Amino acid sequence: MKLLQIFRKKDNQRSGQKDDLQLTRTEALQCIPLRSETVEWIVVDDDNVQLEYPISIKPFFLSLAKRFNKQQQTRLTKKLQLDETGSRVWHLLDGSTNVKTLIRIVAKETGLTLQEAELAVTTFLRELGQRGLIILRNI
Amino acid sequence: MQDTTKQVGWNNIQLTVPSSWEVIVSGARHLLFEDDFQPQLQCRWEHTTPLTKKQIADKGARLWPREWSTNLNSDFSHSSQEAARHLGIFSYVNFYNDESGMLNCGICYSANHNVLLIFQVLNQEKELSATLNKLLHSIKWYNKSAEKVPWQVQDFQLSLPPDYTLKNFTFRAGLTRLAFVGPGYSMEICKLAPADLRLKQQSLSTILETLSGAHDMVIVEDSLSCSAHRFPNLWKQIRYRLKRQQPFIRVKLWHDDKNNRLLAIFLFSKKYIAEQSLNDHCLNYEIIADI
Repeated sequence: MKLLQIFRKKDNQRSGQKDDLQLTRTEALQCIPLRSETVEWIVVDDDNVQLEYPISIKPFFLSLAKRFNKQQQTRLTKKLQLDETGSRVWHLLDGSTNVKTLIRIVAKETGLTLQEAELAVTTFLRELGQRGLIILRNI
Repeated sequence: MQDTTKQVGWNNIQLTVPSSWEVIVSGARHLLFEDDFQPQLQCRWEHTTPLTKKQIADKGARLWPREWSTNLNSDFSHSSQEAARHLGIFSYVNFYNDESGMLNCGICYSANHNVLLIFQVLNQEKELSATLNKLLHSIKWYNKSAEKVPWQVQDFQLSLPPDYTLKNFTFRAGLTRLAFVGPGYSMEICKLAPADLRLKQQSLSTILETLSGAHDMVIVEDSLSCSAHRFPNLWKQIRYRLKRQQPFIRVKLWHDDKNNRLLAIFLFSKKYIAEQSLNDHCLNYEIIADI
């Protein structure tokens, strides 16, 4: 019973920590997305943006790769090419534009409704965040 | 300063809201209104059999979604003066105020149309009471005797005969899709945005085939529109019916270059579909310019 209580307590602590990190929709719209410093990007053909970012590999697999591959590799990276709308949003990540403004600009430029633009932009930012390409600054 | 308003039509209800409000369809009979990403009001309605006063209160409590934060049976005082103003439109009205005396939620019942409406105010501002009054006064219900029922959300407007029932809807980024069941055939309407980006990657005929899910149609394409039909022979009809697919299809996709949208109407049936049916629907489906 004591063991179960301990686990339950940890679960509560874990859920408490989760609640602190979760933002309301209004708070999330006020956040400012910032490009991660580890990301390098260039503009390729058709004015689209290509991102290059480091990928994290577990030390065990990294040591295996080094053992079998004598050539020294500075770092392992992945490339991601954005489409036209994604490239436009990437250009707008200037460190001062919040999510709400991004949505308005995208809606105006693409002709989408605000609801559609919100869905597109938030999905895109979530995808970038999951890959570690952006961070959100909460005001 | 002149007030600008816009019409909203969804599933047999039409009402007038401020033009700055964004309408979000949350369900078949559930609308949420936002202004500058701030929720203002939500409403939900249901067609019922004739109800008594007690039944209205019971049904209203059951219709109240669990996720709504307001408890219908809490200590809200009844605002009889506000309620009385709306008795001309509704035969039964009950409004509820919160602790500070601001209107919070309400139940309205129309005996003429047998419709029960509940709403919740999500933004407690004084001006909203006046807006809400205008909104409730502007409500129109459409039943089977109506000539045409307006469907007007986001930036499109569609008029359908009253015997068309909403079956399904999807609002995604850049793609809106509504499915209806009508007499003789099922109908789907689509709206894609932005059109210029999509047409850079695909032709109208490719988009049409993808949206319809059928690749054995006869397609006729010109610069601004694309039509297709499928009228299979008897053996193919049986094959489609065994696969639970409607054998007869008539579709049209056109490019509204002024508003940068692609609009499409699909008709599916077990029997032959006349071209005039498709053309009539196309005439009643358009993009409305923003106010």
